Amino acid sequence: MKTDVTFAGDLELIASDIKRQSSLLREALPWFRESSRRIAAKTPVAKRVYLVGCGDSYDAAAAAQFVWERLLASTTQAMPALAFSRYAVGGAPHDSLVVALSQSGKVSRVIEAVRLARRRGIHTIAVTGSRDSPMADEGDPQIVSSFPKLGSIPGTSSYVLNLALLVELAAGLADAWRLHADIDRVRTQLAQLPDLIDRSIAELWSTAKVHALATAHRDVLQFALGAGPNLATARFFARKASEIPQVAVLAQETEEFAHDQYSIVRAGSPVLLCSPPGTSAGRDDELLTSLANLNAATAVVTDETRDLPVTARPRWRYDVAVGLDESLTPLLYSLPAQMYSYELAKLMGGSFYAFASEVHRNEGDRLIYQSAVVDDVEFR
Amino acid sequence: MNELMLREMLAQPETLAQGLLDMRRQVERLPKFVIDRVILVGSGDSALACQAVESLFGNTLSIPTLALPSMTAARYLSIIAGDLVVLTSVSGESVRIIEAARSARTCGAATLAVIADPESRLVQACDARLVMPAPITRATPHTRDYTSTLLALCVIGEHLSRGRWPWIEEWVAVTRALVQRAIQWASGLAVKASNERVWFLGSGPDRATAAYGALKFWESGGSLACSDDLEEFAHGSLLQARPGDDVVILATGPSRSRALEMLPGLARLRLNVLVITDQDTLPGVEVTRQFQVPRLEGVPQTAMVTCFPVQALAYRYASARSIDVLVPMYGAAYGPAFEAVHLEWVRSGAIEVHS
Repeated sequence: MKTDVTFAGDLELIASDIKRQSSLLREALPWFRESSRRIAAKTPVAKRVYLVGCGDSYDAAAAAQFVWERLLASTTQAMPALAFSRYAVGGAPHDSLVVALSQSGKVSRVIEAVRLARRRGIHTIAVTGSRDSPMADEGDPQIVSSFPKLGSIPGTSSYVLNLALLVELAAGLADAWRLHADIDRVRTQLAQLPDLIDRSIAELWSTAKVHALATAHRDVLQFALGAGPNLATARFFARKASEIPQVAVLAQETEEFAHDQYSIVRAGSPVLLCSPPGTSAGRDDELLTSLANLNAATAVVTDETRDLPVTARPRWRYDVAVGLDESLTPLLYSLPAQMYSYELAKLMGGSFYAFASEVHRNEGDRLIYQSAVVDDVEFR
Repeated sequence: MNELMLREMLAQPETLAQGLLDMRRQVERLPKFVIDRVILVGSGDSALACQAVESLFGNTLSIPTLALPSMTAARYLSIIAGDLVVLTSVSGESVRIIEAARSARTCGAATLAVIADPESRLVQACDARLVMPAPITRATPHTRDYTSTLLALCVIGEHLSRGRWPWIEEWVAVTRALVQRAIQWASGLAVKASNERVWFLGSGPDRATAAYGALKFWESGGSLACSDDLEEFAHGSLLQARPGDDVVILATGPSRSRALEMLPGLARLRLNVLVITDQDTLPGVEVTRQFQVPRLEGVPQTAMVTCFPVQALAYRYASARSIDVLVPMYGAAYGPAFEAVHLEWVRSGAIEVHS
């Protein structure tokens, strides 16, 4: 293992961002509830909902869509912004609801989605963490927070906060639409989230250290797997591994992995499986056993109540604190991705968004913030 | 080498022509479903075929249509009475699809199996069935079975819309020249012998084609490939690319302008771009590295034609790299174990019924 690696940038900002999540959440949750209540009161009932974003925001949307579907009994789809703005918007019913997220408020494709949806008369809520941004300039209805950024670093706490906001917004809408959903249960669990993070963080971090130490190979392709809401967690894991230490991770849905990517797993391939107790646990046990037979280097994100079969033998086990329904677990299950990527970067070096490379620095932001926003799309 | 895969690819025009006649006859006997929503379900290639037609269904039928992988449909989505759940599996034996069918029926939804084997367990688990053309083989990276599944889904779409989709005949007709032209185009491309990554990027219906392209490479001896939404590549996965990687961009429909915008950056990242488009070729990329597919009725149909050059690329790369696609894992010692695990994962295992 090389020990003279350097990280181009202040990597400790990531550690600080991870550690402050619970306190940020404690401050933000009452504001989330009040903002959501205010917006929800002016939002007409919709039987079709689109949650739209890019990058982390898309992952948060995908993690939240099952809670939305359950609380609102509306067909809810998380979509990458390009897929929505150029393909789906034309066929979206006029009485649907679009919720568009951009943490920076500067992402061209999300702004495009908001404009095109509104032009079609679709009720659209813009969500951003920056008051001084083009997205905020798009006008109401919008939820604009002042997220206290630590610098130009990949999002860790912002992901959890945005996801919590989306969950609270769904609860607020269910309330306003007078639906008989388990809103209280969701809100009770959200209120417990900061404590659950505090109870999880030390043990998860120590696991992330040993996990990273054993898998710090830039040329070895990794895999991240999850089902239902935790497919988004797997994607988030891959995204953080790209953005912080620039390690390649393929994210896939658990069942689809068995159909698809099994072809490229090798003995020793690092595989991370998000496996909460509940819906997919039985299937996960089968996969874990086979992964052990393939001698993959498997890590599992779960909680202490989950009994794994002796045949499963994951090499690393991340146990988060117990207390969330499965649909809300991405709020906690995203923590190992943050810590693991940080620990890998400490061992292997890298730079935020690979900006140590001039071409990445020049192309990265330009590619997402300066893209031309189209005013009209013909999609027949 | 890889003659069987080539044979399957070349058989597609005839299979589609015959399959269209046969499946249109079959759907006449299907119930006139009265539904509020369509859920298209599959795994692997079948999941991607569902994703490829999702916007086509959604735009044409004016009711919500969701394309979902089998696990999501079986265990996470709230399926309700009033849903039509279309379950696609060539073998009809994929356990999670069978589970999704049973769960859907428990919830009171109507279920329709799309299979090649009318005796399969999936048929037993569903209310109705549509039988598509029987496979030539299941040993190669599937090409003909994928386009047969696309065709079957389109015929179901016609049935649900209660009117013919005339562009289907046009699609089947253009396929004859398209397959030949795609194979010829790919055969002229230089392929590095090394196993460098190939990226497939697309959006809308062609997000499915992009994923299908990566899957064909994985099935070809475990070749490294990745796929992503075109826009999402800019937001993250480009950081996993390396100079020298090949990038296949599906610059179709309203994604073409975004693809064009990204070309200078891709060049500066020293990625080797290949383009598949349904419009004019893109400036800045050698014409020989671009393939033009015919335009059918509209953008939602692009995935019906973009899959052919993608298949041809998988065939070309495997053959140029001396990969025999019939040999598990490129002849590696662990190949048979991987094949066994794959079959165990998809064909056996516990079925849980969630409602």
